[in-house]
Amino acid sequence: MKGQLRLVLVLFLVCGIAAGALSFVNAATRERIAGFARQEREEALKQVFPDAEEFREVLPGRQWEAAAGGQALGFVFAASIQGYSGPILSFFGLDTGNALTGVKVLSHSETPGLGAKITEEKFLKQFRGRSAEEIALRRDDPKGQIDAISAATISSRAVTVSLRSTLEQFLKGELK
Amino acid sequence: MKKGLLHELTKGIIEENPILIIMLGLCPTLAVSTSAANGLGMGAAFCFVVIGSNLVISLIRSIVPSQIRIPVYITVISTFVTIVDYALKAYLPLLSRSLGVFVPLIVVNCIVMGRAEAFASRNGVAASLMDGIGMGIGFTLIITLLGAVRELLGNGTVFGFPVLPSAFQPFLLFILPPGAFLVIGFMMAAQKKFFQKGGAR
Repeated sequence: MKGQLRLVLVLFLVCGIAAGALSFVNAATRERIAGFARQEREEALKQVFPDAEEFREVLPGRQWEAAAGGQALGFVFAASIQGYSGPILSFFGLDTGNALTGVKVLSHSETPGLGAKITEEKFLKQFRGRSAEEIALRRDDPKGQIDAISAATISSRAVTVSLRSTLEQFLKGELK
Repeated sequence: MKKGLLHELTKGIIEENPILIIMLGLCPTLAVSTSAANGLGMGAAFCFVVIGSNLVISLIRSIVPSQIRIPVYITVISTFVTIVDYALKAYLPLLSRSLGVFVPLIVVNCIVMGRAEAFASRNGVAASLMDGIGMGIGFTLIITLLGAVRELLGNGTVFGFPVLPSAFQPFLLFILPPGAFLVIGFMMAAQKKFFQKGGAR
């Protein structure tokens, strides 16, 4: 009995000290971690809509209104989809003429060296100025204007489809 | 005694290298080493955890009853891992993202558990500290080298700097999982050939 009590006591003590240390570390880093996430999001908004100066959240985490000097310029949307090996989250800006202003991939887990090239400017710049019907891979749709990355068709298609479907949702009035 | 301590430090680097000889922790090693920077970052995180956990476990070894030693080790190790994970997220967010789930997975890294069980729980604080440092250096050295070779052959760069002429067509294979197996196989062979006493002919 006494031996068992000792087991409980030692484990309790170890866990207690560990919990104390972790809550201290959490308190010390929480602000910085949240700050980075915020800063990263703001930079991404700015990158996909370079002309805008301020962004107002319309739908939390999904849609922002882009403006400069008090004048509305368009929107930024978040689009997500299942890629080749995990979810892909990207942001894109849309001007008042319903053409894309820019695209940025925020997070993905595609294969390094292949699918991971979806984050590169060479692929993403193809979307700039495109309207909804042009956002498709050339090989999938005769109106499509997007070249897939070689050896990474699935990843390229995933990005393209997620942008287009989010954009179409907005045009149909399903988003705000 | 002095020679003993120095031996505890150096054995992890060549003689008992955790990856090449003991062959533990291969899963994160193979998965993370797609670039030299990833390897170095993972190595640094691993060093902190193995040194910290060896130190604490050897300090408390006499008060921990053997029936509950495993849960105690896991608690100690996961505490250090969580500290590293938070610190990386707060100060090196990009590295933290590219290492992904493999930092939290150091908790179940068999090298850390192995050193706790096989060494720190049976040896003094100074020896355990040396053992942790040695194992940490050995792991970091190999995973960084592995990352550098894979990055060089698979992408033409080392630590992100282009070192091969642009005419060089990278072998994509080396960035992909099979490349990791190939490179580590050659590294193990080289280790056997050049460092093992009375080993390969």
